Amino acid sequence: MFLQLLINGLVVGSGYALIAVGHTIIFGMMKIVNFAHGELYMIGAFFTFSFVLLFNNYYIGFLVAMVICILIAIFSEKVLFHRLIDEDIMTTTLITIGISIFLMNIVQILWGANPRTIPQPFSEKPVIIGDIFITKPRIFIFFTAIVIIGVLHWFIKYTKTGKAFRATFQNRQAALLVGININYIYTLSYTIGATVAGAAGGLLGMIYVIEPTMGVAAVGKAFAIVITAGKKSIYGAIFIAYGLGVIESLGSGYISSQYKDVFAFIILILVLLFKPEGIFGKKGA
Amino acid sequence: MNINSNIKYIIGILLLILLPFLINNEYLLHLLIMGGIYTLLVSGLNLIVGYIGQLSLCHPAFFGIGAYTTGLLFKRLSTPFLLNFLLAGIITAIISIGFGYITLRVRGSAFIIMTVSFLHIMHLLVLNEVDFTMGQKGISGIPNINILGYNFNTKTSYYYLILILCLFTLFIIYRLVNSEIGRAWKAIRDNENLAKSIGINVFKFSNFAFVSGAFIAGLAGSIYAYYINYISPDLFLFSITTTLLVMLIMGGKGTILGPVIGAIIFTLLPEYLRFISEWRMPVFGVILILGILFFPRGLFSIKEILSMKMKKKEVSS
Amino acid sequence: MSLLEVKNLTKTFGGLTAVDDLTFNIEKDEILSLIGPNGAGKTTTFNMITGFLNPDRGKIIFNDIDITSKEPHNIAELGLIRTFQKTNIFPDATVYENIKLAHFKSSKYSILDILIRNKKFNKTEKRIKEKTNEIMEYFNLSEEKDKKAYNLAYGRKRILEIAIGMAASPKLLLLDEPVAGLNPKESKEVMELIYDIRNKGITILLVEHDMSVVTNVSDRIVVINFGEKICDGDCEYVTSDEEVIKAYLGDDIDA
Repeated sequence: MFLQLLINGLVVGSGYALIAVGHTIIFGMMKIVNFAHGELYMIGAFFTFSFVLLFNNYYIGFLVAMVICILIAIFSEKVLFHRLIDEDIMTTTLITIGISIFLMNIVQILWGANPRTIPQPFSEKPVIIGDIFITKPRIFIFFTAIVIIGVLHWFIKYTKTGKAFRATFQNRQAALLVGININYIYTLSYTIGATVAGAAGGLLGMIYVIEPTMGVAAVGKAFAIVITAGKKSIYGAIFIAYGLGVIESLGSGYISSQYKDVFAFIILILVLLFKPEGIFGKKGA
Repeated sequence: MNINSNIKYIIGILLLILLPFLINNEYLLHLLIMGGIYTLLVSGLNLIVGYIGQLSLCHPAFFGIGAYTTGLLFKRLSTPFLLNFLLAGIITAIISIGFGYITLRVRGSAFIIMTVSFLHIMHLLVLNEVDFTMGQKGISGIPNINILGYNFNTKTSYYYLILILCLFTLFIIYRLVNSEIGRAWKAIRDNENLAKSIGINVFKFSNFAFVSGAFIAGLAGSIYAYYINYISPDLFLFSITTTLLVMLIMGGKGTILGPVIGAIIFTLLPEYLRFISEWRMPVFGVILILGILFFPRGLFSIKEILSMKMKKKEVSS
Repeated sequence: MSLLEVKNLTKTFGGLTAVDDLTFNIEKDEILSLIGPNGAGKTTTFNMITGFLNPDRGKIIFNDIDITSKEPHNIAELGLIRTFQKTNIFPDATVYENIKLAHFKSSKYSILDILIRNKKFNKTEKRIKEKTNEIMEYFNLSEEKDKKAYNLAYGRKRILEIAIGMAASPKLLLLDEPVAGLNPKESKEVMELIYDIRNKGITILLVEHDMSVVTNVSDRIVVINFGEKICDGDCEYVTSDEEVIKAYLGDDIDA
């Protein structure tokens, strides 16, 4: 039972990690409290759904959906999000709430509200190890998430653009001084963050129902993770995301499944009360 | 207030009193009653968002707590209206004191997230504690208001009740805003550090605004439960937060009449744009975005914005 | 008894000692200047005295009351009022409203008084209005009464800041570089104003990095460098102190 719950938790945690990574990047880089972040997750799921049906192939459908996500991300960053950098928090929050409502309801009109799942390309037979059951899409989701996070890590750590990215993330003024093109970095960061969230939608949509309101629930969790981890900690957010997935899974197994969504917020409130800078955050940062 | 504007207000109030005789349209009257309930909600939300400058997204939770207090008191104890009504306000206020005590220590993004979380948790509680709240089914069969034998069984009677409540609330808010308390609120909004350094207890005054807003929302929730005779967990949905924000932003935050204008217009407008009914929420989203970008002081500041532009032109030319 | 006593005040930020065992006091009715080169720990000291920062060690006593680590608003309540190094006003309010807002401490009525608007309320409001006009008159701001504060010229903003401080009825007024960014003429005006305020019975603590600005008005000068006090005495004594000259020469080369 425990191992089963642990593994389920890690799979859910992979999804949280992908959403939260993007959220941390956008929050830390652009100081935008992005309520519309969950909508990219939702849109990623819906586009994957439609393109998988269209091409009758999950992998092609998923990749095409990601290309669309990238285009949407670039467009929305250039048109809207770019203007929100350095605006006060009330303004940016209200505008991103507006975007979130708009996207959610547009999807509701275009696709309809009835829940569905993305058709998955694997055989129905689960993998059984001892008394643990794991379905194949879950294995796929877990390892794909690891690969995405690995690529992201490689990009940030070892590429030239990644270095500029890190510099801007830590100190924008200094980045400007050394001649980094921060507008390019902003567009890039937003696009990466949004697309990774979209990928989470395209992946998790195989094992969960997709519906227009899924983004709202997801963004709540992403916020909880980012603030719990500490606003500027990308790796902290990944760690907390997996942790939260496990806690939720264990909590719903041993305590109550109806209240599994509450754990994130209880943790958040405790963190804000006792360590407001976040678990991995630095004081005064 | 000079005599001239006093007369304007008196004429306005007289018109509102005569309105049920003038319109003779049950449905329109219903919309006006709902507009009144929204006026109470948005005016309360305005205290924390408009005057303190902290974005609270959990206001519908206080409305819902007020409505559920009333519904449950009636279902379990059959207590009379006046008691239910007052308890709805008081219990809501007590809960908001507890919540505010924890959350108003933080500002900005953390506060915003905590308020969303609170709304979400309240929604889950009401949905899942079926034995206590009846879950998704909601509570039906709440009777009409009865005060000392007088039964509120017409729309007109509710209209007048809401009208009195709105005028009374606005009057109190007006007096608060134009006093030391209102000045402290604005000081906190404009410059928190300077407010502290002239002796303003930021935590105390933020809490007072937050709790006052919650108290009003609780009362509004109670009236709503009696008026509609039915309540459900849908009262805790985030879409209500959105509606309230659209009303507040477009009406003009940080003003006394702004919330009234926003509430009335955005209650009536969607009903008269029925043909786009399924587009209502996306349109609200766009309105919110455009409103914030172009009319941060509300639609009715257009005059002010235009005159400022003219002045700028004069200066530049 | 001194009006303000600062004893062994210490503050470190991540291993860096910003203020080190600092002790000084301010007598009633004097103008004391706290000076030192940039980064000497002046503003940190200021923030600790006014409750915006908690010291790691040391005591601050104001008017016989221990105010160490009290909340800023409690400290202000006692009559210790500060201004900020970077201009700090209520930008969206008019000049008149700015000064009226700052009278917060003087309105002592209850919520009930506010709601029924009784005699007590009206009398208090009238008094605040009069005092606001008085202060505007004193600071020569009456003509710009209805201007939004953010529209004021920079020099006028700095005057408004001091006016806000005065409106909060200080016993001790702490001014953090009130003439920074002003031209010599404006700067002289502000200094004369400060001198005059002292003559109204308000004690003044002035923080400044430019020594020449304060030598004319100060009764006493405390010099700090790298968080430590290096000199304490009247103007003549301080300006001839070797260590002070050394600290300032170093500063001049940087600047």
